[in-house]
Amino acid sequence: MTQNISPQKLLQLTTSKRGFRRPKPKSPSVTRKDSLNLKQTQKQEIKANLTENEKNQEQEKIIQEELKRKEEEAKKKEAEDKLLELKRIEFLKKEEERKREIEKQKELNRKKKAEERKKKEEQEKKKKEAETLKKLEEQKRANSTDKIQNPEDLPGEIEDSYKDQETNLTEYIPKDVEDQEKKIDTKIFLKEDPEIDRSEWVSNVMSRNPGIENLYQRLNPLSRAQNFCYLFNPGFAEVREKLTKEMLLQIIMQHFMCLGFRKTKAILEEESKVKYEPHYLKDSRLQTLLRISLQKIDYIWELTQLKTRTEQENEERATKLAEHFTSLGLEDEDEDEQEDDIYFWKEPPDSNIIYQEDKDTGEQKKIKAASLNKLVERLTHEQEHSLPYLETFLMTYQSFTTPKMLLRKLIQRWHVPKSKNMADEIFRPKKRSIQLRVCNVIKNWIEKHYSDFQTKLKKEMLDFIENTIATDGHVSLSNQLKNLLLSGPKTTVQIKQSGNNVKSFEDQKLTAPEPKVPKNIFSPTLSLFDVDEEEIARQLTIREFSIYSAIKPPELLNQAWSKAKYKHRATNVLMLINRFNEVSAWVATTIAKADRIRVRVKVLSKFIRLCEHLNELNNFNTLMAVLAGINNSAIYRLKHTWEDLPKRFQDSFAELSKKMASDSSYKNLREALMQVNPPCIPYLGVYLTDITFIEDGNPDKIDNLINFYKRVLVSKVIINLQQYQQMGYNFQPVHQIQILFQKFQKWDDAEIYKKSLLIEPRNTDRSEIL
Amino acid sequence: MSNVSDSLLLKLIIIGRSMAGKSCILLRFCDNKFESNLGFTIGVDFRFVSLNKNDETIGLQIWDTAGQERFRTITSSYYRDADGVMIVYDITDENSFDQVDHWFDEISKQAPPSVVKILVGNKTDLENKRKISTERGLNAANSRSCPFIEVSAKSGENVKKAFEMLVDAWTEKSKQHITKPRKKKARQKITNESFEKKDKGNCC
Repeated sequence: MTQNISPQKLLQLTTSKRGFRRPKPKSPSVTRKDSLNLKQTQKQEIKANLTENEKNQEQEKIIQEELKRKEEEAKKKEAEDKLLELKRIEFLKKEEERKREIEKQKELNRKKKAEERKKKEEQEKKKKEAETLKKLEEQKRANSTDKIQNPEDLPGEIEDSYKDQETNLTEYIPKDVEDQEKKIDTKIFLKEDPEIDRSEWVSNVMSRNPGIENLYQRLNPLSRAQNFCYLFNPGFAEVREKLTKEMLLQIIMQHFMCLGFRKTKAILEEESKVKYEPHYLKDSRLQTLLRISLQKIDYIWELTQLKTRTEQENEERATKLAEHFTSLGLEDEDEDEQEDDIYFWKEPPDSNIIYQEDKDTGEQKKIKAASLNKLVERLTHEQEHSLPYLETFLMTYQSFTTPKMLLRKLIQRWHVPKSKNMADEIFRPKKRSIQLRVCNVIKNWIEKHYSDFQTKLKKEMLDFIENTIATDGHVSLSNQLKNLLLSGPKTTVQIKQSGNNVKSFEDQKLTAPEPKVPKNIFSPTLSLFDVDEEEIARQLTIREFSIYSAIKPPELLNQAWSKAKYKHRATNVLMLINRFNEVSAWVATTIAKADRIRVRVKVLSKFIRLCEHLNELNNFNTLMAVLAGINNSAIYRLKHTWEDLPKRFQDSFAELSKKMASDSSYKNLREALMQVNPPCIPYLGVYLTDITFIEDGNPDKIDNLINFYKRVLVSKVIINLQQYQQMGYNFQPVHQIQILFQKFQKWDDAEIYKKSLLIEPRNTDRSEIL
Repeated sequence: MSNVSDSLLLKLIIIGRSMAGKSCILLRFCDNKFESNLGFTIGVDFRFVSLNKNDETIGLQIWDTAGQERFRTITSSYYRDADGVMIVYDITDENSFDQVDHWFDEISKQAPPSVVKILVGNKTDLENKRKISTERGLNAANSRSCPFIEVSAKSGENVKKAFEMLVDAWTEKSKQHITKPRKKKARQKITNESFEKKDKGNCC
């Protein structure tokens, strides 16, 4: 029956959510929800068989459903319109600012024009594509009518309606394209031409032609989706790069094959001269892709529903929405910063920089605060080189600018201008040494902060290396940088290999201690109680270290881990915290779960023994988590359990608690860390608190200049944290035990407390307890 | 002030939602230098302040877990031998005020019964963005019978007063319960050295 699908319905299927949500009934081939027209025909068909009464009921039902549907759509539209309006105002504002900017900077203007030209080209391409699509549809239609097996399934009335649609499409599409061109031209995304009010005309036409209105209602989601896409498009160039015409055609042909439209596919193949490559997926990729994108739209739509919410909830939604867009790469994180950007060589020399008064040495002037241009100038200074400065800068620059901006500044720096009265003999070496310094910064940047390079930036960087560095006479350097950029990140293990005294990774694997595996390791009922504490500690440590070692400097900037806006940056920090909480909850739950005091004491002892092993492994983060679990008020209050605990464990617990205490800002723990022999996993919270105090205690800017000294302080903490990332643990993961850690059994705090009161009620005697 | 170590020493903790400005209050109180360009040295504990009250010097040892709010379980051991708790919310942030109840519950579960509390609404400098009226804050504090004050860590307004109120509340309460055995223990922990460090410039 799928072969009966007409192109218009196919269009609906692929554009309306309903098409995906509710699978179409197999028979009859046309369903009620498709259109009023369809319903009417259906009704006519059914008419003969229905009594008058039933007919009325049926009619009522249909009308009610239709009303509901319309109401829903109107609601949806309203919410979306609101969003569009908001965005439009934003765009207008930005546009105004941009115009001012253009007057100031002709260079920027030129760039913009080039961009616009590109977009126009893109638009023309789109137009062409639209035309081919239309052709395609006609073919599809021809094809599908060929294939109709039961012509009576599609009564004449419906065909007429489709014809209407067809003419409608031809009327609307070119107009739309025209509008879009205007939009692109002015960069203002208006839904209507502001000078001509079409709304009245539209409403007149609609009221006079119910058929058109019906169609309009059905096509409306399409045009709205289109508008939406234009507002939030991630940049044509990227899409074009990834989504080639061939790729699109392949997807379309695969979709046809799924539907069994072999003829259409063959025609398409012939006309486009693109050979269809059979795909291993049996489902239509087109449908899947659309479904995925619609799911995202669903989420956005849900977030933009502003009705019946409190202001506070709305704000939360707004941040979530912003977060979502940022994570999708649709919104630049720091847009405003690019607004007041000054071209590197236009900033007057010897200004916008404050040095720190350093009593000890006059050797190197340390920067206290400076503008971005001056910081980059210092970074690539002809004479003065400072490796610590370079490292601090690369580690923290994302707290005051973006990778994109840094690259832009380095490119500006590269193009050293020649002043009129400067002799060639002076200018050339100067230019050369500055350019070498820029290369050096780029080399360090790629080598040590490879994760800064997302696809887009990577491309821009590659472009700079290939088309500027190479052509400016630094061919070998350019090759070197290109290799660095394309060879990918260096993992911790590799760094370890290149170190002096450390054996290669493979050798280490061989010398790893034999895991202490229990006899029932393959048993499906394997639980952590069967496993030796030392092995539990090892297995927990392997996983913990893999997260800890993946933490990158940007995760620790701007207190990203506690701000909704930046949360997506702090993935590993949040993962580690999350795991910490899971381990704590698991420990508390496991103790509280034991009904009998004897078992409880045993469990508690086991966890304290686990703490001892974690301490031996210098895994202070997990140690803290287990201690926190034991310290949970629901466990801490189990007086009798603690009394029954053997003295040895009581002492051990007290000692470890003292070591990890937060007294004097974790004095004991800090001292222990200084003497530790890696590998080690420090307790993350210490660093987070230190950074928080530095962030809150120092302003981001001094006299409108970037407070670089603050970044130096932050970088010191980050370096501290990083020093333990280099050396990994040498244990073999045991799959069966790792699985047990994937999902810790845990209750929430209230549940644990409830259970705690149950096993040892308040003010009970030892004798009264099980 | 030669005999600081003999004076009374209280352990105070500051709690509240992240970004409510806890660390700012502490920084302001300890250094009275919010816009500190020099920052401070990590490791050296700066969280000691002495307070003069009726010719008596009271040492305050202030604990703060700023930045660790997401570690849900870490604070429980924190409350255990606290003398006073400062619950901070941000008057421009409804969420931070919603959590006040949660913090009071935590305290009743974790902290000793002798503990004194104060509710503090921070960021009065952002009056135009205020979401929580003074009245609501006051009502919340009254229903828990604890003092209430609004402060601005940025301008420094009322920050010192908030700590003084907390100390007053403690003195009041300790008069009622004459025995206070935990105090000695806390006092022993503190060395003279770390105390005097803070004493020089910032003595109030």
